[in-house]
Parts: sequence; structure tokens; C-alpha cells
Amino acid sequence: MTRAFVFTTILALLVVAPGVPAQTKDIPRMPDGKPNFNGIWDHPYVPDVTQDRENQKGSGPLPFTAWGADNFKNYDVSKFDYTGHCLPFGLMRSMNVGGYPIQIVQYGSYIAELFEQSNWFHVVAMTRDHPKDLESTWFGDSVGKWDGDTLVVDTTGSNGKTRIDTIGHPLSDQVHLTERFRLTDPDHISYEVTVDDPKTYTKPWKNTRTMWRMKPGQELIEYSCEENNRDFTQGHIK
Amino acid sequence: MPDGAVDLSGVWVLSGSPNLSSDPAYTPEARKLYETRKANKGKDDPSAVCLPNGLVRVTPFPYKIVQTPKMVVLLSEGNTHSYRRFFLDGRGHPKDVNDDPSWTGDSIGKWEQDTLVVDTVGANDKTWLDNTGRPHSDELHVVERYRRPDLGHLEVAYTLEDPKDFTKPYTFRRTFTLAPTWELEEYVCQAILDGVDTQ
Repeated sequence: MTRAFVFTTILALLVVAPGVPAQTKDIPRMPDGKPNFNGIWDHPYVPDVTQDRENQKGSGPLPFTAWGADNFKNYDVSKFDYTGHCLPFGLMRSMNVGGYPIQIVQYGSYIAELFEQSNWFHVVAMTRDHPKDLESTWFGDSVGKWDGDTLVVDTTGSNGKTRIDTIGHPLSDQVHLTERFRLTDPDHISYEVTVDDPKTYTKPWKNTRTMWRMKPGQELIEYSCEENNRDFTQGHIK
Repeated sequence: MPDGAVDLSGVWVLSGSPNLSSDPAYTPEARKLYETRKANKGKDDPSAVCLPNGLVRVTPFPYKIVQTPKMVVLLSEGNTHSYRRFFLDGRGHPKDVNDDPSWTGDSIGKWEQDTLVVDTVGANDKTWLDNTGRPHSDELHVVERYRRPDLGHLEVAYTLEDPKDFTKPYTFRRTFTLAPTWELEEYVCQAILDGVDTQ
């Protein structure tokens, strides 16, 4: 490295440093200039969406409606939880479950999310709106839009049979999720989800967290829920 | 694609039967297993209890190919609504791939002109090759050659080797038709199995 180069670099740092905005770090981009989220991302375990934990900020106490409070009070995992039956976790609980990373495959007009959890996948359409005659499903219908460098994924059409987190916070078929993904540097995603569910909560609320890129060479591994589901077949869960 | 590779992405639906049109050259043990499965009329069918189809057996439900320069993903609407990943970054199979066989094995791919060649090993012996119960062992080695003979069709040529269950390699082809206006829908095997009302 030449002395001139070192001097120029220091000068550049001195000039730039005081006013560095949050997004000056180089982030990977697609050929069209959009941020490139391709990769395998780990994320914090969010067993209780209200609580702060490492790399995530909880919502605080939830503004339950009477229906929502009643549903939560009556939830008893020892009596029934759909995940024990290998039914789909749903989008929110797939993002909240611990220890199972997500691979984002970004291409053309769709973004595919491959979940290690149950090896399920979900596709986000980038060039259309929600269909008018939406049929309700476990994961709902997701459409993505760009807000500058932020990927905004809007999901409706949930069947209301899933739960938000491990302790069982409820949601209904009226839930509307808004997820905001932003690369803060090549290896971190700032993730914010807003849950708007007027049947269950009197007002929208948020949970924010940081996702991190897994190391090169690490891959999603196989997860077959139905294989050896002994907790279910031996009656530990119902 | 921008890198010059043929674009295989899109939603594809199988044309013709999902079943193999003939038997591989089975060893006597594998033949016996096949006859037992046929006699049981599908009682042992892994897909009937929502276990994965593995890498050869297909469903009449659509598939979607997602293609990036270093990875091609095959999404399956039916069966377990899951995915196979073909790694195109030049890696080889892991050395210990046969120590812990998996439902879909380990797949690496490379382009030979306009054909995507996918090589898979490391599969377990629990899956069936088709709906009739044709067996294979955990020594199954599958080479799939994906090409697009015209805009609307995807042709996959398979070569199956299985030193434990076959006395010689078995080859066959499948054709898939492009469904340009379709998207994959949610298919939940367990909901159908459990009779859960999804509406």
C-alpha cells in the first residue's frame, strides 16, 4: 500500500465519517439494483412475542380484544396444538420458531422462502396484488413491494388456525401482517413485523429483530415432521 | 438468464403417468419387496402418511422451478409441499453423505450446454420410485438431465443406478408442460389426513 493511498484513505474517512447515514455500507444487490437477500438467514427464537430477548424487541403487553383474551386464556398445549400434528406452522410462527433458519431465494417476479422448519416453503409474489377472491390458507397470500431498499411483504388470507408463537398468542382469519426486511450490512437483516388483527387485538402492534447470515458452508438440513413423530404417536401431545 | 443459462424457471405440470412404464432390472430381493408392496395394495405407502416422496416419485400437482446462478430449487405443491435444492456452485457431494441418508439426498448440478445435469446420492431406502411401490436402496444414484426442448416443455431424462437393488442402470424420461398463469397453491397432506377443515 502506498503512502499516498493511505493518506487518501484516512482523508476520505475523516471527510465521510461525521455524516455517515445508516445505509452507506455496501450491501449485495441484484442486477436491477434492488437489495439481494439471497442466502441462509438465522433468526432469534421468539417464544413469546411480547418479551425482549437477544436480537429482538418484544411488543410489550398485547391489546387483546375480548375474543383474543378469551382465546389465549383457553389455549392449552397439553390438549391440542396444531404443530404437534405436523400441520403448517403459518408464516408468523415459522419466523418465530427457534433454531431453524430460513433460506431466501430471490429471483425475477417471486421471492421464495425455504423454511428448515418442516422443510416447508412459501412464495412471495412481487408483481401482483392480493387476489380479490382469496381462499384462506395456513400461510396466507403474500405480496412484496419495495420501499426504497426495504422489502415490504404484505400477507392476508390466513385461515386463523395458526398461532403467533410457542406460548400460543392467537391470531384470527382477519390478520394482516406487514413484514419489513432491510439489509443493514451484507450479513444482517433488520426485520420488523406489524400484526394488525382487529378480531384479536384492538390495535396493531410490532415486534422487531435482527436476522443474521449463516456462515459459508452451512446449509438448511432436512426436517421431516412426520418421521418419528413420537410425541404424537405415543400420546405425549394431543 | 442474464448469465446465459437456459431459463428453466416457471410452473410445470407432469404430462402422462407418474408411474414408471417398466420395471428396473431388480435383484431377487428387490423384486420380492416390490411384489409384497403390490400385494399390500399400498398399505405401506410412505406418502399416505405424509412422508416425503424423495427424489424420483412425482405427483400430478404442479412443480415450480426457482433458478439462480448458484442454486436451482424445485418446489413441489403436492406431497409434503417441500423443496429439493440443486447446488450449482461447484461443490462435490459431502464425503459423509451416505452416513446419514436423507429423504431427498444430496443434489449437485452443472450445466452441459443447455442441459442442467443434476447428480444425487445419499437418499434413504424408504421412498418409492412411483405410486406402485417400485423400490430402491440407499445406494441409489440418480442423474437427471433437465432441458427445455421448446418454450412450453421441460424434459427430464433420468438415469438410475442402484448396485444393491438393480442389476443394471434404468433410464426413462418425463415431460412437464409449462403452466404460465399458474401459481403453486398450498397443499397440506396432514390436513387431508387428519380431516382438518381448512376453510
